[in-house]
Amino acid sequence: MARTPGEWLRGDGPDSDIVMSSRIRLARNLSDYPFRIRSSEKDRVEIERLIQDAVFHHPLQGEILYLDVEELDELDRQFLVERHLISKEHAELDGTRAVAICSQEQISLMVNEEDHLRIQVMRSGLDLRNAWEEINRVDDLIEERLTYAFNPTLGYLTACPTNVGTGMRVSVMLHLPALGMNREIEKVFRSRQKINLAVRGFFGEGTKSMGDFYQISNQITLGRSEEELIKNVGDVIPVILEYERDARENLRQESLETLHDKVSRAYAILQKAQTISSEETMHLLSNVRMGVNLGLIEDLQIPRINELFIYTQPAHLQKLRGSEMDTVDRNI
Amino acid sequence: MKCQMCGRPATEHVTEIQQGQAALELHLCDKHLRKYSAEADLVPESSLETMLATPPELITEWDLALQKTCSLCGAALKDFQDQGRLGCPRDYVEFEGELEDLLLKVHGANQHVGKAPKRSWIDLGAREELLRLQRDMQHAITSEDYERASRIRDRIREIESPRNAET
Repeated sequence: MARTPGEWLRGDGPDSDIVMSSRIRLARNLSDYPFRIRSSEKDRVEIERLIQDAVFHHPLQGEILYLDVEELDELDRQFLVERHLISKEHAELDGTRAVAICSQEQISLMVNEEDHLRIQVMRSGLDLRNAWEEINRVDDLIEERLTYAFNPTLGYLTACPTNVGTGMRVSVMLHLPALGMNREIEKVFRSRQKINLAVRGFFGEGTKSMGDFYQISNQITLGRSEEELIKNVGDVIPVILEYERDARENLRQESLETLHDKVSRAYAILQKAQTISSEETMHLLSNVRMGVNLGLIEDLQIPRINELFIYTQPAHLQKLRGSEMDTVDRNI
Repeated sequence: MKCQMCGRPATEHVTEIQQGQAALELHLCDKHLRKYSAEADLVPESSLETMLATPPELITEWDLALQKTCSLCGAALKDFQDQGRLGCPRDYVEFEGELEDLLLKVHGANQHVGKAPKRSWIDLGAREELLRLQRDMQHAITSEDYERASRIRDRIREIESPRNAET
């Protein structure tokens, strides 16, 4: 898996100059078992068995890679986190838990994370509609074999009330280097009419916004239908895209030389540096990505850069080259 | 960077955007991120702050309320306050009153709109009653009280069929 990038990294989805990916996640629980804080290991084993059974019963989409996360060593877990296939929490928890991955990493299902089951679908670019159709289908298939905790008043019941109802988190990951550069970022978000959107970093909850990546998602999950929630997030995006594109165009017109220099330096450092930290790499890759988008760098493609964001993360480097965490010996 | 609540290393970073307010950037350790998510994120004041602002005699009432536990899994409301997580699906029934306010604050709603599971679904309360009825029916059959068994069977059908009609 280390050698092939996930499909969602391909960078050819709609608006993929700015939109890295679209992601939808559904939280589901089995009705006859307690949530995590009150479940015994025995419960977790049974839950895992039931869900694994449901996952394999209907071929969800081609081959399914099913991994026992408890058995994996730390490096492998970190690897999966870097790939956005499991959450940091899932890597760090104890006890029986698993992840099922299929469709070239576009679908992943976590078993026994905060909720019994968390289904995730990721797509390249802005593609929430397709992501929703896919995850809806997967949810229905799995549900044929399981009884979800649900009541008509509160919807799908989840371990945390912040997820109750639809159990759905819709997020879009945006690359906003130009807005980051001219410090317009906060203004943009503040000016939005829509309320209750959360902004997070590259690796989701609890991470900083590194490399000019911003993840926008809904905060409300109850009282609005799934389609409405998707629309709420989806409606905000085009405006932000316009801001970023305008900002990029301004930069190109007003400070092309500075920009070109910045981007070229970033590219050069990445190619030649012997030792470099992951953080700096993210930052430089972000500049290079913008450079490619603006046509300032011609011998590099977006999909490759997208991959590099992942490949230059610590666990990936160790797997690909057996090298230390902070050193990079690169071939772009 | 240090956690803004306790000074331990901050491993979690959150930027929250709400209408009409500046983006709020927080740096927290993972314990305080959980607390923040459970309390401050969702309710304007943390319940802890509310509690501390309350006169001593009322605190006891609050303490008592926190002792309330779920009859199925044993989780206490206090556990929820500490960890931001519930114990089992039934907690939503047993702590209905207490959770209602929270849900209204977080989501601005207390009624689900949207998808429901496709198969015929039975709510938690009815499900338990069903199990009990099935056991009773079994018992009635074993003791050859067929009239009673038949009444119980009718009752079971009654519970199951409206759900089937809905989906």
